[in-house]
Amino acid sequence: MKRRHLLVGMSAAPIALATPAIGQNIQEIRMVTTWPRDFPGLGTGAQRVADRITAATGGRITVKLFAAGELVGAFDSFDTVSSGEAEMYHAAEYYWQKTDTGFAFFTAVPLGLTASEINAWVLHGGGQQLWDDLAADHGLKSFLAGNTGVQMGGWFRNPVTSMDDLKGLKMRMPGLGGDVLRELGADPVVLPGGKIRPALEAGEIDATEWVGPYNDKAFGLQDLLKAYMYPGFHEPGTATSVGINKAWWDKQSTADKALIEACCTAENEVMLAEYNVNNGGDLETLLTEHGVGLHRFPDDVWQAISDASLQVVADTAKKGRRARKIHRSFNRFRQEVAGWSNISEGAYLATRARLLGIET
Amino acid sequence: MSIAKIDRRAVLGAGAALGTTGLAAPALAQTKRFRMVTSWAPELPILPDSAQRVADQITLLSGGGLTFEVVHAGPDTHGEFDVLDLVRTGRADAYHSLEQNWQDRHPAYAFFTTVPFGLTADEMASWLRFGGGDTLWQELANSNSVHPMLVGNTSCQMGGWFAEKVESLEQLNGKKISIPGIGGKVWQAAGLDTQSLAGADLIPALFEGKIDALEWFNPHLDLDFGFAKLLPFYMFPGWQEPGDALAMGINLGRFEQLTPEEKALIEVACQQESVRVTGEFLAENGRSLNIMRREYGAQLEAFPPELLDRLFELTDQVLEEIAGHDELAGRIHGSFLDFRNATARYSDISSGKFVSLRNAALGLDKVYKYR
Repeated sequence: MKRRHLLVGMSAAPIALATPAIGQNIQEIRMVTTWPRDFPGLGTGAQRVADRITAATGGRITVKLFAAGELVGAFDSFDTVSSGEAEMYHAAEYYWQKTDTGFAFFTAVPLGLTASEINAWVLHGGGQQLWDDLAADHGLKSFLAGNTGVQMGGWFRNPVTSMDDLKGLKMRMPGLGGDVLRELGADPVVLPGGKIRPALEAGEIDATEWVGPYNDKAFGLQDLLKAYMYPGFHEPGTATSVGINKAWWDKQSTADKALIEACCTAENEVMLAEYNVNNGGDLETLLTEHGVGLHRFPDDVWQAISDASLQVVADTAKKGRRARKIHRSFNRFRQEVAGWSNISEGAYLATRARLLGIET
Repeated sequence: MSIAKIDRRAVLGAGAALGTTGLAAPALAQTKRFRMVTSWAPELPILPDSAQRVADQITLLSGGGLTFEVVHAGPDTHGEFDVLDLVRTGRADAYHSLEQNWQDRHPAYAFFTTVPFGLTADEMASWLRFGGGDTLWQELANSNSVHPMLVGNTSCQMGGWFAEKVESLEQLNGKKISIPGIGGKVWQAAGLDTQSLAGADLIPALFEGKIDALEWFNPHLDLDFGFAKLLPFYMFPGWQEPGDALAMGINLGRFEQLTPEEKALIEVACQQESVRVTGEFLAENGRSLNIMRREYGAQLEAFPPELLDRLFELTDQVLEEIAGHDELAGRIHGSFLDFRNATARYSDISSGKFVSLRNAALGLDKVYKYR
């Protein structure tokens, strides 16, 4: 009887078929995030992943999203999922650097990989296996799930023209990028996004980086600082991720695991696409309507930044239990593709910019 | 061959029935079967595997409710350019191909693969999803009874193989080059003698002096041909195809019969494959380019600016001609170029300048130099 009933249900909506069979097992799970609710790009991306898992499983796995602070604080997401109090997080792995410096490589490191390169390293260059080993130490299984693209070099009162301009400069820059600045004689300051503008207004910092034109413009940084430096060195393709409690993950069916992974991987394309369309348009608006000047780091400054970046990342990699091995794989991959990236997209984009008369 | 194929299909069917145990007995009755024809010879690197992977993934994600059987192009199956017709007329349910293959049916299809001085892989995904591109694509493809989806990108191509370093356009005047598509039209307008040879005919044509230069694809797909032995100068940038989008097209009638959940599943699978295959091309192109340079003696050189200036002017004219085809072509051309022009500066100063400036810091500027 029951079986016949199921068949009728199925013919109406085949995907729901699976539901009755596991019908008793509809799971409502929690995704904690490190982002404010619906924060453009990051928060909207996390929500999209949550919604797509719910939709793709036909509600079998219903994901309820909690923005930063709604269930736990942003930086408690790792422990919350590791301990199983929530089933998954959407975050940036470099927030867990204090646990193991190896995590930084799965978000971004100074002078590291672009968005497409980190996808290629994780999915085809051995990165996922190294990440699985690292995450498993902490009861987690993780996937790439979004990317902001290359971040900008930051906002300054005046263009950076020499190394002297960096000496003693109080600049908001967290993480390894901040360590690079310190190496160069600057005074890096760590502030959450919402505190950047007040700190600038109070004169507590002289310069700041945030994300890129899309998110920076929304914060109104262009009202306070006019020199916008490029390229960003500290986060050349900031990957976001989904971390899943491994005990919960191991209990899911093969099909549901595949569905969750697919929704995460897909987000790498979608979030980056969202950032790119908005970054492109907002950069033009900043230049044409807000009097912002776009400036390239001078060669000698870039050289010093590059040297310090390689050094800081190498030093960091010595500190984590699994970080050395990750660093070796990461470096090998970067060395293999960096030349190709330069003569393909690098040369192409520079050529096209020149031909369109917008060479900078 | 055809018998073997029938056997294989029967085996797959049996496998599906066994594999879905329990749950599956009812599911089997409802399984929606799709036959997906591709434009790839089975022995090509990456592309046929990518088609198979997305097909398998749709089957897996749907718990067997949707099955995609893949049939690659070949002498016993179908021609690579036949697949739109097969799907349009319902003789196949889906294709995995390049939209530029249907330019004879409508020239604006080119914009949904790549055009000279067009969009990179990341930009294409952005235009389609957030820049209005997808709406236009649906309009064009629906007119041929197809629902199209982005399912990957081969990324930026190289500019081609030449016997000497290209220093000027005059140097190439009257030279015979094999290059497909709009890039070929632009070289033709620039004074070269262009044709488009099949992959298997390239090396014989070189030996027989029928061509002096050629463009095929990207480092990974070019690798096995060993072009560098005959034409050592591998020129860049690949101005003519800055990122070839791969497309899946599903017969519109069959697509519309899918449930919203099934449509969502297919979309997720295509986006996942897009990330996977684009990453795979990047990794393999990097590796292959190093092999070509170290082992085959390929010399990497940049086209001179004046030559690119001229190709850019000629490209504008060729794209204008396409825009003039009909009202829809005009709208597609306008949307595409507006998007490109709005995003070009950001792309250049972000990922473009980052990879260029990183290059020297990694000690790669002696061989992979671009200014």
